[in-house]
Amino acid sequence: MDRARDSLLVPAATILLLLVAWEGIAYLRLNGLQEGTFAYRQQQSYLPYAHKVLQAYLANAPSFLDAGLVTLGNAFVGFLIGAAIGYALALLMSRSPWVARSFYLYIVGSQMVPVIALAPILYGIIRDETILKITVAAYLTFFPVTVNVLRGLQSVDPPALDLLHSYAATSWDVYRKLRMPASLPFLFNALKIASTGSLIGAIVTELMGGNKGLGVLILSLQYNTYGASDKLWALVIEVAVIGMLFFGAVTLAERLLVPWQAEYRRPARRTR
Amino acid sequence: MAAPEGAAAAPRRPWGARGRTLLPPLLIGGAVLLLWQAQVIHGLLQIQTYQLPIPSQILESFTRRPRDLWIGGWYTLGEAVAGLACGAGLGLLTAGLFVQFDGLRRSLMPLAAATNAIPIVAFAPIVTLWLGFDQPSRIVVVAVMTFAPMVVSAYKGLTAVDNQALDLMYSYAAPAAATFRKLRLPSSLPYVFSALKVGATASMIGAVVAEFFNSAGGIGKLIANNIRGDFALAWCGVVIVTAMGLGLYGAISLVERLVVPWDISRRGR
Repeated sequence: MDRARDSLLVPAATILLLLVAWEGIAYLRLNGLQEGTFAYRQQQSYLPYAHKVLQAYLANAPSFLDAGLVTLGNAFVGFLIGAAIGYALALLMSRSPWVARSFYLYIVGSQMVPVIALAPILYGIIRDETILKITVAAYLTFFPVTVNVLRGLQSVDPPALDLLHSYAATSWDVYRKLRMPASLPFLFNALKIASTGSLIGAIVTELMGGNKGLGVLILSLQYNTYGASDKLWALVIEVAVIGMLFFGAVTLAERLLVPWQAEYRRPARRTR
Repeated sequence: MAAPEGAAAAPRRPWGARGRTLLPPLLIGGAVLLLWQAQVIHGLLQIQTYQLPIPSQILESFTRRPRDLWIGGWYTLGEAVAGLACGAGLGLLTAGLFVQFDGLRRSLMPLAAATNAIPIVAFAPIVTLWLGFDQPSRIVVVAVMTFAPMVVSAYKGLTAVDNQALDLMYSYAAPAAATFRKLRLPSSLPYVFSALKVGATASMIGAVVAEFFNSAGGIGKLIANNIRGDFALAWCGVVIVTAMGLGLYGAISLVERLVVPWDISRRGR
């Protein structure tokens, strides 16, 4: 219990310290400058006051939240589709060596292709903004899921496999009772990577020519930097918070669905 | 990412068998390229070649603007490599400090892990405000992106030492520095290299995406500038970035083979 409180308290204190330092540095730079003057705006473009950022956020909360929901919504739909396709493909690959042999090389190789770099090009093929964002997010999700789940499906304990064989378990039973549960921790590792990835995918797609969403807002604020750096900061922090919430939600789902994994992860450090 | 274990890779097979494992992917790749070139894909998706250039057009674009692609490629590669070096170096250093000072680890490790959850490239516009439109901006973005995974990985490696080996060092009255150098550092190397390999890909992608936002040059800018016009040229950019990412990955794998031969042999590859 003490440990749990510690692990919450210490980062909170660190964040508070960072906020104080932020406000302090901003004060050193902005102190004495008249608000609204060019010199002030120029200095503010480096680091606006933390409380000004908060004010800017509150003042723009409806439109910022709206954009965030659009982006997160698209990223999440793509994330779900990508995870489903990725899992199905991993199942197929673990069943059929031929499929595995044909596609594995490309799936591993394409992790090295800057898929996001394809986002702008895909605008030429898929014209609809929302469908494109979902596609890119799904695409970025499906690779880590396939690769990790396949490894998970193959990571079963040989004695356990022998035991099921000795029970004359069908192949489906082996999957349902052994392989699929074994793949879950791997799946969640992949989903954590993909949560950030799908969000970035959606934002970058918006950046390249969308009409709504966080990427569009960032772009418009970026070209208006001297006037609006507090707004830009507010928005970027919102992106970070959305990313952390998404990641946190995946972690929470893991805790609920794969409790044994979280169990064994915790005390592992305390073996000594 | 770890080696393609299981499915495709098999330890030491004769060449005939290896040919058989390589044949299906090569056939599929070749077939896709052919269908693409023959515009069958275009027919299926109902698109024109100006929307999706065919491979020969892309190849031709390489000869059309070689200078831009060459300069842009080096510009982006420089950002990725410098950013990866800074991020990974600082990450390793931080992990070392975390091992020595546990209090530091407990207060800062959660924050380092949290940065994994943040879409760092979204910070690119702010970094641009600080450092301008040139390479340093992207180097910082890439460094921040690659820093946290390295801290987490390297810390895992530095602490993944055999307790008995630690006891042995202790019984020799070895100073902390010697334990670190002779025991912890070698044991961390496989973890460090796996973080570096993940970072190789991430750094290329990060540099390109950060250039999308605002940049004085580079492949990302080239792609962004040509998405409304010269698609074939934008595809050249994608090909170059992919090739550079693979090259960086390959170079790091090669160094790994030289520096950590024991791990490779243990993996049986």
